[in-house]
Amino acid sequence: MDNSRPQLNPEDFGRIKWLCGSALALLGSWTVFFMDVAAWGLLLAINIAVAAALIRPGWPAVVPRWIHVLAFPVIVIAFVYDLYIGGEPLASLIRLDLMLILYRICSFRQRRDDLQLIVLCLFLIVVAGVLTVSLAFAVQIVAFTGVALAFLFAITLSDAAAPAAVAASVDQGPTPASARPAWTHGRWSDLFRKLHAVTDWRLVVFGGVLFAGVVALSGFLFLAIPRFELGNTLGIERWINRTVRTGFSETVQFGEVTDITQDNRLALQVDVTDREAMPADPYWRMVVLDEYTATGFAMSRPLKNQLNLPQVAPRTRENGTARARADQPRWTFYFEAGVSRYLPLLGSFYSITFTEPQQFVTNPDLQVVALKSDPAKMFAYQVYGMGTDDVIPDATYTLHHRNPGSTRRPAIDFLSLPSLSPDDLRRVSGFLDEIGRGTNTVDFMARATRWLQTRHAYSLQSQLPPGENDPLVRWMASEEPGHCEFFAGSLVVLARAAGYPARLITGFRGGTWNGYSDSFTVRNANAHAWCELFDDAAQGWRRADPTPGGGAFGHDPESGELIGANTVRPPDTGWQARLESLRVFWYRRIVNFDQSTQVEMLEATKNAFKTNITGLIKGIDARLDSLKTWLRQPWGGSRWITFGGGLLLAGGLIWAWRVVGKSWWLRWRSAHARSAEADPVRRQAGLWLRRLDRLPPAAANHFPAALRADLQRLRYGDRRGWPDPAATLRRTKVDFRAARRAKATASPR
Amino acid sequence: MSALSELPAAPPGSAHTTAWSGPGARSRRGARRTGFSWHKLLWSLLYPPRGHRIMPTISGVLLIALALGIGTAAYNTANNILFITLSLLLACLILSGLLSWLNLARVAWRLEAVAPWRVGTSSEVVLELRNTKRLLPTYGLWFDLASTSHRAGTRLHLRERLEPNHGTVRLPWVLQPTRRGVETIELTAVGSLFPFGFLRKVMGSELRRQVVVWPAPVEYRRHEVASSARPRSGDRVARLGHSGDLFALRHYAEGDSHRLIHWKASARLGKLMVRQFSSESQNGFSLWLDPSPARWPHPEQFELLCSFVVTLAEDLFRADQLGTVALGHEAPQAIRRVRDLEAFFNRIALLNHSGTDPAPGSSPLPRSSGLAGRNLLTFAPDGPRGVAAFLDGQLAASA
Repeated sequence: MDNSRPQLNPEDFGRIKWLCGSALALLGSWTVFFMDVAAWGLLLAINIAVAAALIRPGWPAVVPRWIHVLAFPVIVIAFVYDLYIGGEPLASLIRLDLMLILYRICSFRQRRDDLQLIVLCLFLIVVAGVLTVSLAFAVQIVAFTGVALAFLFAITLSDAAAPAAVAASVDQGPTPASARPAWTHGRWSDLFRKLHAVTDWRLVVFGGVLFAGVVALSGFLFLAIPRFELGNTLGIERWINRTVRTGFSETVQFGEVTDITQDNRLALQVDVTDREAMPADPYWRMVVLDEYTATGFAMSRPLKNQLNLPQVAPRTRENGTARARADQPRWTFYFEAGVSRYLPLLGSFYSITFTEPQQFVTNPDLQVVALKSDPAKMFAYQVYGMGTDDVIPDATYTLHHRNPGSTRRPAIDFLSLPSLSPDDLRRVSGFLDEIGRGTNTVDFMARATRWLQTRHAYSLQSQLPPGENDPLVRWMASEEPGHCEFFAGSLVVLARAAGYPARLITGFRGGTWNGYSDSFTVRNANAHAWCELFDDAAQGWRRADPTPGGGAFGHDPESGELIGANTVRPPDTGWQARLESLRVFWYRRIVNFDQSTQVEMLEATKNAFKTNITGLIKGIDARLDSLKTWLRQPWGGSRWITFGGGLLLAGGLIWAWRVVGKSWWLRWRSAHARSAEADPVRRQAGLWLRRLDRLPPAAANHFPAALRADLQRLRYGDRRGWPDPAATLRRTKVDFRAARRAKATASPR
Repeated sequence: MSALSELPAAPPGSAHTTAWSGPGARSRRGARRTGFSWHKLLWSLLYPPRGHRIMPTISGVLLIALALGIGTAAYNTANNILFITLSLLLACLILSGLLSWLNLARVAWRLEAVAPWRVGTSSEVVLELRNTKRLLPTYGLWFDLASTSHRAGTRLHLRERLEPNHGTVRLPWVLQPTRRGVETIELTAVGSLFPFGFLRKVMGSELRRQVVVWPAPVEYRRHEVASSARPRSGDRVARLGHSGDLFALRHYAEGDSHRLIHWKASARLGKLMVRQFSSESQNGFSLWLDPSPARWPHPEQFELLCSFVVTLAEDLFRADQLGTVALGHEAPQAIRRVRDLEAFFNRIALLNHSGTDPAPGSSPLPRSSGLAGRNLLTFAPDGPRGVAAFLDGQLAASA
């Protein structure tokens, strides 16, 4: 028995529980960072309370008793008030949870208080996970599991170490919160020193392996739990309000899109089954703005009405464009929360599929998809048959353009400039005289773009020139640098003035290949504005990006062929890409795991198993066939030499191993063994000696005494006096069997 | 004697302990191992062994309710975050079961109770634990013990870490037997909340240790006796001990101490000879007890009789004045050493008032006993409650 390790007493367990409770409180409260809930004050208070509780564990004893008496009613009143005033049940619940955690940190806890703290923190982490589906949830829940298990373990051991105290607390009720427990008088350094003395590193490794096993087992259970959908949605994200960016909404003021570019956070990740299909310079369309105002662009009321009638639709919606071919790639989008309710798309598409039934609207003319509200968490969708052309087909508008008044539904006006004064229109007309009206849309686009880029440089720090007239007209008249919104807006104004229907588009441009996850990453810094001009010849809207550096659209200007992003963009292999690849993995394999994926995974596993087994059998058959063929060939001198040499070599190797190698290996392992118990030679010798002891005397007499002495030298003696371990053990094996046989043959007589 | 013969055979080398019991009991060297089989495991899950129970604690119920709630929400919404949480909860439950099994694996226990026990005297039972695991310590077990006179029993807690590699811990239980006879101390259950307190795992146990409890000593009053018989010439009384002066050598008699053997004389005579001291020639009393129910109709009086006899016999033995004892019509037994006295006490402890067993029925003192008229102490009821002792027919003491 090893008594060198000290025993932990109830005071030590009290300190460990306090430490674990504080760690859990921190883990739980830090979810506020992800949930976008106004609870920063409570978060700060919890962090301060935890720090105080760790520095001076006895300070809750200072809190007057009446505060403990009033605490719960005050918390309840605060919750009811918060719920009544705020009207956000989930946010109020989260704040209630935080208040309770704060109180538990500020008071000495009994067993049930510890359990309550665990449940409170679990609630926060799960809610944060459901709301954000963030990768941080994975980190938090794993950390929470580890700390909570350690906490529960300490509670159990503490109860076992002081069962009388537990029984007393049950009989007499909880001790007053202000009564200072004995463990608060100790020091953390003493506890850590004692823990260091108590710790057996083998147990630590064992515990680590067990915890890894728990995580692996939960992963397996996650994959194996049978899935079936009941068709409802929890929808707790609807109970909380989130703020979204204004740059991708129905109204865009000049500069709002540019403001988004200051944010380098992730906005979108795209998986495409065929990397070649990704344009070198993709334009991710989100919002179509048709109305020009003096301060920016906006969606006109008719357009807005079309996009504000969402209905609960099945998971898949066909868009009405040409049916997707089987060989066309599948696009999977992971759209981060808080960006917009308009989903980024490259252009026209055949169908769009969501992970669950959604309330959304698709506009086949605009090729825009809008959700009913901004998603509060990462939003995944799949698109089939997505076009990557520069032209967005629009049959309705083409018909209207060719035969005005032919359509029953009033077409949206993409030609008017109501906000421009006659003076502004005159100046714009002057610009057009410089540019030239062009022979067609493409020609005008090229001319106008060239004119704008000649007069203005690109700058994110752009200012509109002062004056009374229309801001874009003032800017065009000046030679001030501008950002994408000025360039795109100016082209819209020029095109409309020239008689070409035009509209402003906001979304993202470009992105990077992630070298680890093999996905396309788009950040908020990729926010961009461009425009689309109606091209009657193409029967659709032609993309135009007058901003310097834009306009290539990922197509070869000579041949018009698509240039794949993978050919022009080197994959990103930095640390940020590595972290983002984890997020992609999380989205792909965890968040979007569903019944169909489960079936696919089972199929894949079955196929892989079958393939491997079949391959193995085939491989063995092939080897046997080749051996058979080789054996059937005529045996000449060289073959005999090869065969004999091989046999000799194999025999020599075996002989060398038995004579030298095994002994050397045993001696080496023995010399590096950390203890006598771990010494393989001593262990094996001990094993044989025990077996010999168990032999009946008649059989034991047949075992050579000298060999037994050798075994005893190996078991107990100095290494320097050892006989050859391998030879001794080998002879022992042989003689032991012989002794047993001799006994067996002698018995019948 | 039948009750005594039912007492368990003590393991070799430790007369006061039971054999090792528990999951680790079979791992002793040389003992036969019972191999693991899936069949047995699955069968034990369907039909748990007697006394085995697994019940959720409050935190366990909370965990199950939490898992049910999260599972319902997960299936209702197909939300993978909830499925992950559910998977982790289930994995933690499995881990809990695994650790609980590991905690109990290869742990053995046995009961140790050192005789003699007497009614009303504090006695100690020790539960000895042993952990034969190589790496993992054992924590947080409790043991429910009960005895014949303490049906409610007690619960012993393993408060500290039971170290691996044959680490042992001894848990004492001090109790006061309340009645004479065979006291059965039983380990009724072994339980644990280890490791996370979700489940209360209880294993039934049939480990028993039986101890004979002697009657309690009583206070009694001595009375003046007119005369007592002197030892006749040539009487030889073999007695253990060597107090007094050496005055002779005599033949060895069974029960004599080996230290009293006179080796030179034995070698010369070819027979074992022992030294005889003057103490052997002092007055000795014989004690005869008739336990028949007809003589002792009241149970309380009978109990008082047992206590009185034991007390008197002990006092006489301490004064080296106890010669022989006899029960009913049985032949008298010489009391030469402590073991003889303890055997007599055991018999008194096991006397059954119903008269069925083991005491013989009522009978006059057999003539063949040779006890009559030779400092013979007999007992008779003294009123409805008391007991009187008579020395050769004269009242000598009463209780």
